[in-house]
Amino acid sequence: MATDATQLPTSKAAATEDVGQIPQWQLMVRRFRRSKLSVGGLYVLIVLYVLMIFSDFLAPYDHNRLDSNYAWAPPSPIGFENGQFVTYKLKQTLDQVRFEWFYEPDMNAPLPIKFFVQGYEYRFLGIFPSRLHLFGVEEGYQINIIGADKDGKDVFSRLMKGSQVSLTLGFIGVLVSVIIGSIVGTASGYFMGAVDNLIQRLIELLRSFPDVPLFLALAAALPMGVPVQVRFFLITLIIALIGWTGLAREVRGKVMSYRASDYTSAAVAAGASHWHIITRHLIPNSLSHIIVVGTLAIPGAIGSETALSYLGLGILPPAVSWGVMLRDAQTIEAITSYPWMLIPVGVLIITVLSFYLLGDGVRDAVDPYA
Amino acid sequence: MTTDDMLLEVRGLKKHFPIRSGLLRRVTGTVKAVDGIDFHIKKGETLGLVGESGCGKSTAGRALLRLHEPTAGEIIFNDPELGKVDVTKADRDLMLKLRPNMQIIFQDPFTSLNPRLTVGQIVGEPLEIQKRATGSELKDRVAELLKEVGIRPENMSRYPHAFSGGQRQRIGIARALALNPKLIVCDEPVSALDVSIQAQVLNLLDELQAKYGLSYLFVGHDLSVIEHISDRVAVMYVGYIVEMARTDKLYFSPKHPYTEALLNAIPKADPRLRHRPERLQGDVPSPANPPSGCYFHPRCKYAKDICANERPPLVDIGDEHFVACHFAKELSLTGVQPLNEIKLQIPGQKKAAQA
Amino acid sequence: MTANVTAATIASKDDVIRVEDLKVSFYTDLGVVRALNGVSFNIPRGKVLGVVGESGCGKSITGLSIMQLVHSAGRTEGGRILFREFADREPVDILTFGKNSPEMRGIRGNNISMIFQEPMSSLNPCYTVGNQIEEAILLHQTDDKVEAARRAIEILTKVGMPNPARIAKSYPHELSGGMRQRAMIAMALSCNPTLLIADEPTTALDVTTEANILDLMRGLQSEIGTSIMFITHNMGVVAQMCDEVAVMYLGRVVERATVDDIFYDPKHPYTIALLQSIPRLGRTKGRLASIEGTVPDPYSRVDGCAFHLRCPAKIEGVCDVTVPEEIVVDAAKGHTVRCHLYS
Repeated sequence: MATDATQLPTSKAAATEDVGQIPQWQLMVRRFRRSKLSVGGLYVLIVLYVLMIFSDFLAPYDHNRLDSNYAWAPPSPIGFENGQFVTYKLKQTLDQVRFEWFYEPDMNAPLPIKFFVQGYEYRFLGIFPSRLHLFGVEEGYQINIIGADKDGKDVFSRLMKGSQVSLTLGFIGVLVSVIIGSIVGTASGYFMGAVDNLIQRLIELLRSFPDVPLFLALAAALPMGVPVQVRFFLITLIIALIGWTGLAREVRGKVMSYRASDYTSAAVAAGASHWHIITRHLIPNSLSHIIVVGTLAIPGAIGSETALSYLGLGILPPAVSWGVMLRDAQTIEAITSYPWMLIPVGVLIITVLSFYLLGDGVRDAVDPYA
Repeated sequence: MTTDDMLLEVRGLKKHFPIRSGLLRRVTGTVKAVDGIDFHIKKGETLGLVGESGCGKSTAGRALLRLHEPTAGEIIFNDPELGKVDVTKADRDLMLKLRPNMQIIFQDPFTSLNPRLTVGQIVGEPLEIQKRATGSELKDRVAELLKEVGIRPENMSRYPHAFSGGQRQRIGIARALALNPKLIVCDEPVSALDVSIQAQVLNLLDELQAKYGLSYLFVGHDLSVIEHISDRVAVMYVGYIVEMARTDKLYFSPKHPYTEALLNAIPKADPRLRHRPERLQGDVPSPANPPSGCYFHPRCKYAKDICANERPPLVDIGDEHFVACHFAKELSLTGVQPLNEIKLQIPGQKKAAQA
Repeated sequence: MTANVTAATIASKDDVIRVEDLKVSFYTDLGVVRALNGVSFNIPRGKVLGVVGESGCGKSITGLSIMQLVHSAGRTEGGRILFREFADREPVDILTFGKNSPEMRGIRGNNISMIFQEPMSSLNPCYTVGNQIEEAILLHQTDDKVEAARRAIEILTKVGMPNPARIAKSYPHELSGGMRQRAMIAMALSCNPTLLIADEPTTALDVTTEANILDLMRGLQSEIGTSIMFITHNMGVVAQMCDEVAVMYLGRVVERATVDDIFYDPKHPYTIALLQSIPRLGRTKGRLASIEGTVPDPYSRVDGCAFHLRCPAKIEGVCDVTVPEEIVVDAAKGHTVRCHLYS
């Protein structure tokens, strides 16, 4: 018997709108919007990805630009003089006692910060060449809004450039593994029998390899001399190939349960082909679940890339990613004297946290009773 | 075109499910959900299939449509164009041609409709699958079907969550009617509905049967509902049919002890009829491990030695009254009393305002 | 047939429970569900009161309210639930006790117990049946584990379990549906409660098992003298089990009478329509009278009498405006109706 008001219903019978016309996915979006934390996570991610798209525009310098005059430079002081933003020329001295570079801004030598300047060449979205950057100072001097590393490379520029790898590699890797996992999982769950048996044993075999050593072994096996893009692609592939098994099992479970549902039986009773059932009934119903699993897998993939690069097996210099930046920060001096080197850690935490909040929100929206 | 009024004949239908256990998933036993049943349905008639949980009635209904592949037996369907065909042996192409004739309505209104499709898409899907209509022609046909079951056609673009249980069942009925079937398997279609809605849906099924000459296999566990809607009734127990007869004969003069016990057990909706007949003890045996001989013998108060050793076949003891009991002709069992109808009247429709 | 006798005064002298004008609402983001809209009824000591209605009428919530087990989103907004444990004591208003107060915990399982529809989800699969019964006994009656075990076996015998000692050592999943329900009844009766609330206890059971359980409950009831509030939607069960009946519709009691009167002399149009729409055993095939329309959406507010939208005897301008008062039809037999046709 249908029950009772102790189960809180999810459809609203407002007089002004016909809830009946609203498809499931839209109802899920509404439920999602009610979780403020998850919506917050989503907004943070949108900001991060927008920044990533404009990363070259925002970064004043090429990420590998060396300048020993600015080794370990602290974040540039920003002032406001004569109606414009300025920074100051730095006097660089070597502290003989602690053997550190010590910088003192010369308050009498302001350096105006110009906006929309010409800088190093890049390709916006990988297609359109441009030299336009948001801000910069005159030639010969550097502005490091969050400091510089041991070679004088601007940390902010490296952070921006690194986001291009860190935010996309994990994402694409998960996307590929979602596609592979969904196809394999659907085949396994729909056809069952011998096909299912075979696939499940294969998955178990793959999963019984310990993750981290497998990662390391595959990454170490990558040829050294390849260009960055190829390396990027290969690391993505590694992440995808190790990650698809989890999703395949989830999808298989869902497909098996939807396959047993009455509406699928009705389609069979009308003479539906396998293809019709899979595309009309099984995949659309599983899609929301797939999105949840995918979203929650992204932070893991980002972490994997970061870990690999940190260990020197992923993205290698001269390319940069946040993992590479963590490697640079792996010195005692970074923690004691040059704390701005640790900013990538904070950015990573914010990114991963935002993905988890988003993923939690999506999962609750999709299946509130789970 | 055959003038034979037999629509469906089922002989020796079996559906066994293997039990797998162990490392290598060996088959260690079988659940004999349906263990050899014979019945027939004539054109335009309703056969009620009744029994308690685990008796195999749902499985039998679904096996007719090959939603479960039968393990053995024949299902002879009298197709208007193809003549008598054995459904169990039909290949994929033949099945495609046969399917429109046999459709199904499900029990749970909340899971029988795909929540992501609109009602229009749900009802139109069979037509799309069978390529019988497209575009505006499809829309028109869907509108017609919805009107037939009492749902306003404007609701085509709404989703199942907008409808109540009773309305969803009607949508399920519209979907079953889409291909103009001859036979509809009704798998407990009113069990999940409130009593007042149940009545609406049963009345609808009645009307549709009269209008289109449909035959129903009505599977259920509520004997009062079954009595109301069926022309003939078959009682199932642990996978086989123990009694099958015309409704009035089965209810008023049952011939199988299990039928007698079932009828006795129903709580009568009359507080003045409160005698305590002898109740059936024990539990329904598991279909994976049924007793020897007649499956009912451990609980049967009339059982003798032969009952533990030999399973009685289903035989016609006269006037198409089939019983599977060694002592069918000797036993005299009590059935249901004809109803002493309590006449009720709602005091005045539209009573004038009080002075 | 108006009477100056109010509904309250016709309630029998010794009621174990008297619910007065209970209002419970659920506040959700999507709106307010007024689950109980002023429910009043009484359960005389030692009798079985059937609370009958279709889904959404609030019968389950009423039972849960007495036990104060309503989901946290539900708020009691008015009314009293008077519980009189012994005939010679004053009744107490259960609602004055906090949900988790020691008084309430002392009542639950001890003075008032409840059994539910799905025995599998009310029995903990991790503990044996005997253990669960002993838990209740140890909480309320005695500290002595040996004594508790003995009483557990005693009550299992009483509910007709074959081989009670073995059952006590079994886990719920090892028992059949009927046996699990017996185990639940045993748990509920282990502390000799004054009132037993049974929420659709046989709905999930096969009809032969149901018959046995109902016989058991009837037998125990007359032996121990527990009062029972029997919630169900099955009129057949009501006819066989109950002494008095309260019919509910959309959060109110629309009619209350002895079981004989409900079947042979019902007054409310809903009760009559409900009885006419049941397929009865022994009736030959024919069209069933059905009630037009469906139960209104739980979020909507219905003005006046909640049934007026579907009532064939609706009085324009009256039924859709004012909520009918509870009117006494027969004081001696305790028959009341909420319907404008009788005012």
